[in-house]
Amino acid sequence: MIVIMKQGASSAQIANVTARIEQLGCGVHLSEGEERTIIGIIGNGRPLDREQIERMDGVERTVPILRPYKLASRDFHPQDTVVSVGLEQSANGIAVGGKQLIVMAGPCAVESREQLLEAARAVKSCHAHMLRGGAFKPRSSPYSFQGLGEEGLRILAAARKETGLPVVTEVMAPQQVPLVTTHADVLQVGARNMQNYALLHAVGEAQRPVLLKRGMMSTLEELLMAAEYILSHGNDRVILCERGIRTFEKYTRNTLDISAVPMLKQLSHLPVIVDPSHGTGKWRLVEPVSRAAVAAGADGLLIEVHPHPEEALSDGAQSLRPDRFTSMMRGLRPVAEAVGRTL
Amino acid sequence: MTRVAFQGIAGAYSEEAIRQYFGPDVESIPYRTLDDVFPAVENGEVDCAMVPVENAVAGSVSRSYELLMERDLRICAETILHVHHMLLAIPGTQLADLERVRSHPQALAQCQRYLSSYELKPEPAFDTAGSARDLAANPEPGVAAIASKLAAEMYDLEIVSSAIEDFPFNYTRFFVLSLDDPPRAQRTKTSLVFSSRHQPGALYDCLGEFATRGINLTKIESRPRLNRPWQYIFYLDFEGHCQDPECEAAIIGLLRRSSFVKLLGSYPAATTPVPDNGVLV
Repeated sequence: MIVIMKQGASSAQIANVTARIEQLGCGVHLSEGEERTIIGIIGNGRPLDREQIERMDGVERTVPILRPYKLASRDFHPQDTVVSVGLEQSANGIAVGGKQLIVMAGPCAVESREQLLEAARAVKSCHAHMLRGGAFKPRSSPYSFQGLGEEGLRILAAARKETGLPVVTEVMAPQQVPLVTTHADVLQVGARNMQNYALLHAVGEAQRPVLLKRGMMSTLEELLMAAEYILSHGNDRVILCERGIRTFEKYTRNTLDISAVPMLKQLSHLPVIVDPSHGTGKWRLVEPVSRAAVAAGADGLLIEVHPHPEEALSDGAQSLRPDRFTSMMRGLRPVAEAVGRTL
Repeated sequence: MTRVAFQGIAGAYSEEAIRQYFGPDVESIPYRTLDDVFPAVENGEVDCAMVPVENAVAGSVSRSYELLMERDLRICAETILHVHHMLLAIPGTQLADLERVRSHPQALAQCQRYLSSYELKPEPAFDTAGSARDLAANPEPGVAAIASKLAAEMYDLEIVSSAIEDFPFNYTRFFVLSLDDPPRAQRTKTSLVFSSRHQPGALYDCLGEFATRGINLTKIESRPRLNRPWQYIFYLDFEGHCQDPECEAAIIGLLRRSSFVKLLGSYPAATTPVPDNGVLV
C-alpha cells in the first residue's frame, strides 16, 4: 500500500504517519518528490487498516499496491534512480541511469594478466566507461575453464589502477561476496543466479552496486522480485540487465527481448542496460542490437570485447575485436543523440 | 508461531506493544522479571523478547539497560508504544463512587494530576496488569486500577475513564531482542555502550569521533559503573549501521579512546510521532 500525503503536508505530519506504520511492525519507504511525499509501506503480510491511516492529518489517500514488488516499483519511487559507481575504490565516478549512456566492456573471462590489461587499454581508448571481466565463471560444463578466481580479481584491480575504469565482475556464491567486494566496484549477479536467494540477500547486505541480470527463463516480474530482495536490505543501487531469453529460435543464442527495456522503465525506477553479446551469441549482431537498445531507451550496454576472440577461453564467437568495438561506439553516437542521450 | 517473551503478567503494556508490533498471530509469554526474560531468549525457550527501555516522561528503565550490558542479546528492532492509561473498575462502577486507585508507582505518577483533580488516593502496587487482575479477582467497592486497555479486556473490567495520563506524549520505547542480528533496513540506528578514561576531555574526544564524521547521535545516557562509585559508562544511540564505512571508522576510533566498547546492535530505526504545532520541544 502507498500513502499519498497532501501537497504541502508538514514534516511533522509525515513523521506521524511514518511512526504509526512503524509501530505496526511494517517498514516504510519515503519518496519525497517536489510536490508531494509518498510513503510506501513494506509490510510483512499484515493487512493494515487503510481507513485508520487515511484519517490521519496530512494524508490525501492510500492506494493498494497490487504488484508484489514495492521498493522496485515506480509507484513507490516515481523518480528515476541513478546508480553511482566507482567512488569506493577511488576509480572515476560513474552514474548509471542519467543522461549519459554507460558502456561496460571487456572480455568474458579474465584469462591472464596480459590479456586483461590489453583489453582494458582497448576499452579505455574506445571511451567506454567501465571494465567487465569474469573471475568466477558459471560454465555449463564442469570441465570448462572456471575462471582464475581471486587471482582474476587482483588482475581486474590492477587494470583499474592503470586505467581508472571501475570494474564489474560476477559473484557466484554468498561466501565470495566479501572477497569480490574488496576488489570490484559492481557485483554482477548472473542470469543463472537471478533466483539464488541466498546470494541476493548477501549482495543486498554488501551495500555495493549490483548488476542484476534477467534469468534466461524469467519473467520481468520475477526479475523485479529479485531486485526487491536486494533493495529490501536498504541497498538501492541495483542495475537491471536484459541479456536475452530462451525461445525456440536456434540461430541466436538467446532472443534479446528489446521490449523488456521500455517495459522495465515503465514498471520500475531502476536503470536498465542491455547485454547484446550474450543476447545474440554472434559478434555481427552486437552492433545492430546495441543501436536498438539505445533507441529503446536503455541506460547502458554490456559488451564483450576481447583482443583476440579466436583465442578466447569462453564466448569467443560473440566477442568484438577492439577495432570493431571502436566503430560500433562511433555508430552509436547518432542513435544516442536522436533519443536525447549522450555518449 | 513466533514466541515473544515479556516481563509482567498478561495485560501488561509490554504485551500491548507485542500485539501492536507483531499483530495478533504471536504467542506472548509472560515472565516475572526482566532477569528471567533474557535467559529465556538465550536458551531458546522463546524466539525474541519485547523489553521496555525508556519512557518519554519517566526516563530509562534501569534494569533493561543493565541487562543489555551484562548479557548478549542483539537488538533486532525498536518500537514505540503510545501508553494510554485506563482507569479500570468493576463493571457498573461510576467515577463518583471511586476513592482509591492501585497501580505501579510509575503509572500512578504519570496520572498524578488526574488523580488529584478527582480526589482519588493513589496506592502503589507491584504492576499495572497485576492490579487489574487482583481487582477483578477480589472486587472492592470504591477501588480502581490503572492499567492498559488490553488488561481491561482480559480481566473483564470496565474502562471508567480512558487515557488519563497527564502528558499527551506518553511514549514508551521498546527493543525487540533476539540472538541474531536483523537484516539491513532502509534507515538504521545503532546502540552501543562504552566507558571513557577518567581524564579531562576524554568523553569529548570519544564523542568527537562521531561529530567529525557527521554521525547524528540520538541518545546519550550515563549510568553508574556498578562496584565503582562515581565512575560511569555511557549508552549511546546514533543513526547509521555499524557496517557503514563512516560508522565503522567512528566505532574503531572510539575503541582506541575508550576503555571498552560493547556493540548492542544495529536495527531498523523507528520514527517517533511529533506534535503537529511545528514546535519540537
